[in-house]
Amino acid sequence: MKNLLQKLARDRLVWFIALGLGLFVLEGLGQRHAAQRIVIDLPLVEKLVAQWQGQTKRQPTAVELDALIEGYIREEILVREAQRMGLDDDDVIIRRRLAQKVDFFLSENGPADLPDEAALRQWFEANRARYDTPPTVSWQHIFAADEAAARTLLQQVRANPAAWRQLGQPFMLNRAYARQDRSGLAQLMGGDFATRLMGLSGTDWQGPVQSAYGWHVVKITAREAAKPAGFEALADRLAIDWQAEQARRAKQQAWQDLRASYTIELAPVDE
Amino acid sequence: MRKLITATALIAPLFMATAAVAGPEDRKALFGETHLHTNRSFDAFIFGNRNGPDEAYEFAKGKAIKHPAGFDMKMRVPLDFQAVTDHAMYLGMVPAMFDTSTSVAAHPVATRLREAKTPNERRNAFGALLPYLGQQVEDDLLDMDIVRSTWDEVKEAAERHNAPGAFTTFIGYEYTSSQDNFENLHRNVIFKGDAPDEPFSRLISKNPENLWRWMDSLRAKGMDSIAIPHNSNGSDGYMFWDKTYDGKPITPAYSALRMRNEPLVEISQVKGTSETHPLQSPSDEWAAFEIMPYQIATWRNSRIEGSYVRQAYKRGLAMQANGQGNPFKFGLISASDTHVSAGGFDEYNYWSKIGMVDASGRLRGAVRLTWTQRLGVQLMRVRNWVAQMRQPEAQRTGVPSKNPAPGYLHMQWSSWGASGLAGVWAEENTRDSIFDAMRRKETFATSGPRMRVRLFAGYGLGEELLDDAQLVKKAYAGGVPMGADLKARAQAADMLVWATRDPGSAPLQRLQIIKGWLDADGKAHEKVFDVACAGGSQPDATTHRCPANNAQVDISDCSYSADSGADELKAHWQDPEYKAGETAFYYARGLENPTCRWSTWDAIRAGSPPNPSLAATIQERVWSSPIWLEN
Repeated sequence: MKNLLQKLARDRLVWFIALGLGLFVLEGLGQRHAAQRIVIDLPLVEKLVAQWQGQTKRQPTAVELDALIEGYIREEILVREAQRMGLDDDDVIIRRRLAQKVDFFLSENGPADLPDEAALRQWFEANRARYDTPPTVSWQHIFAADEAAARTLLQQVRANPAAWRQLGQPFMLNRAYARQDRSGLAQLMGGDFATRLMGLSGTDWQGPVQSAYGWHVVKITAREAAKPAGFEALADRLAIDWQAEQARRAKQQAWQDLRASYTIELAPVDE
Repeated sequence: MRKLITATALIAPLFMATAAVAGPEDRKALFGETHLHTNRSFDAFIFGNRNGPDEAYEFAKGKAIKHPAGFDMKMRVPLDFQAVTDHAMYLGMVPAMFDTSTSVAAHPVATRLREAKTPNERRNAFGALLPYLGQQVEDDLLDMDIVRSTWDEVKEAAERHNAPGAFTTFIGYEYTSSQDNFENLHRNVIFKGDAPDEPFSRLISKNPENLWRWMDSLRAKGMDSIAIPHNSNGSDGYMFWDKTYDGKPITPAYSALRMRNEPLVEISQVKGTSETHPLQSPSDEWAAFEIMPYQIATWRNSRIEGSYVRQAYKRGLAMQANGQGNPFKFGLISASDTHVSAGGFDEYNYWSKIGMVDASGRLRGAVRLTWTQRLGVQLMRVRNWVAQMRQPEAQRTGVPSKNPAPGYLHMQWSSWGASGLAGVWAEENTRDSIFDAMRRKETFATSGPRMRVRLFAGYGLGEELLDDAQLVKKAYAGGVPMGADLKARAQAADMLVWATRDPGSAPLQRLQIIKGWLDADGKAHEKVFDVACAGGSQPDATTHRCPANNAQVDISDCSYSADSGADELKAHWQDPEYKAGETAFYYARGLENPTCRWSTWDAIRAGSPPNPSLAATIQERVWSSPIWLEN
């Protein structure tokens, strides 16, 4: 036995292993020691004091500062213990919070630089449908519940146009409307009426046109063609909209890049 | 923000130019929403709503927004005006409880709410919060800084979306009061313009008289507001009780205080219609309309007496005769009370109101359950019953009444509906114009569709006016509109009543006047008169009823006969039973031909037979504010 020990003691390999083991244990002890250490330094204290001031609008007293520090120590220890026990591994709230933070970073590119005018004009042309004003009509009407009465009214108003407000049956909606587009007309009087009215030409009394309520002798007092939006008048708004769209695209792109860097595997399901 | 200011500046001169010449005859019907909850309301957030006030206003202007269950909600026709009215108590608190960076998020109730996953867990977690709202436990949860900053957000959103002439917003909130246990005394407070720094909530006082005094004090400082009570049907008889909150007799001062602050009442909304109850109005064949029999948020039956509008009008006449003043001389309005930031006004486009809890036809009790679902329901019932029995008796919300149709889920929201819409007669689409209309009670209410109604009373308003192109101008000149008083004379007053259909809904079937009066012995009576009938026929002179128009609806596909029914109905009417010296009120009611109810639409879409215990069809309707005949 003694012989064997002597033999081992002479063997360099054994010494090497023993030394390694010793280092490993020492290292482990040291780590544990570091893990159990909490450093209270000046930047931390300043942070705690700033938080306190934010809530109370004054400096903490010495007693309060001690309590703040003790509170921090308690929180820090509990957090480290939780991490040691792996409690953060599958916590729904922590996952959501982390995901929220990164999602926030994805949109954190700051406002895009303004494009030069040529580029903004080009973008405006591509998106102008969003800014154009649709065609509108301004119109007056005289109402009758049935078609025959409406035809008589048409003759009467042609003979005496000044009396149009005194003619016809009362109508619960307005007698005159200004600058209505097709969708507004359809919501008010029904879709067929809107199509017929927008299609009328001339500015004399005409009709009658049927609506959801009855028959209308109508007069178009003004038409405004679809008005293409002007670039100059909209320049400020276009710049804001353009920036918003760039930001949206940048975020979408950042997400797609991130998504592409992951491989998604579908685990087979055992039958 | 800058964009909006520019838009307002551009539009402003347009309507100002017309303002100079606008008279009462220029008043037009504007449609709106005065009761809506966003994710800032404690309950709406729990139900899964993540839409804030901005989304609510976008929805009102015609954009599609998302339901918590993921589908799009979009209106058929955009609204003219809207107020967002979140619960003042705990305003913004629940979103904060879900935001783990706040200190309230660490509260056990907050944790429980966050971790609820199933509809049942959500309901139970909500139950854990209720004792705080009911002030039954010591409140270690409320953070007024959060409430005040959320209220600022609500005010800012209203200002951001207010576009005079095009779309009007009002700053508002809900004062969610009650007696001790679930006797609904909720009201919405709507500000004419600017609003104070903090809303007056039930946490300050549950007695509405204190709310009114607070509103009085603001008015003295130039900040006008009105309060609109709702769901009197679920108040267990306390909304229109003939006593004060504390059970004392009503005095003229109380009546004046109440009427100064509450000129309107919400007659219909998603949680049922409060016009009248069939047991109170046995001779009104249309009284059984969207009756919601429970106290709010419970299965307890709500007392009928004191819970319905028509009886309140009658009580008001009697109290006035008794020298107490009339505390119930209010006009009528409807609203949705949605909790998903978007009202559902059409039967075929309905999503109820509490988010994930009633998101599908099956959850609403309109679609038949599979047998496994039925088993699950039984287990849930047992669990709920046990949970109930653990509560102190006063806090128990009750257990469901016997399920009349066991193949379907039986929930409180099976008796809810796609209602209602607010109508005002205003010169312009501006805060001042609409608020003034509400104050003078020139308002009407619909069960969802865009019907319009006018009512005038006066002396010398002859039948010939009905076909006079100047009808409206002459009616204002010679009479009073809905919401006003008319001095009684020896002969019956002339009344002009007029309704038009919604072009996007069924035509009208009949137009009625509902009268309530006090007889010589001081006893109150009511009577329903048909005054105009579709198809041009006349109401019978003895029964005061139109002949049946045989309008049909096919409940297998919801198609209805388009040939019977009127686009508009109007009548000149004089009360055939008027006795000189009586005090009375008269209001108009217009009925559509029958159409499918939302529950039938749900069933058809799911390929299920409709729930036999729910009404398959509905007669949508419009109510005017009354005119009171005063001696």
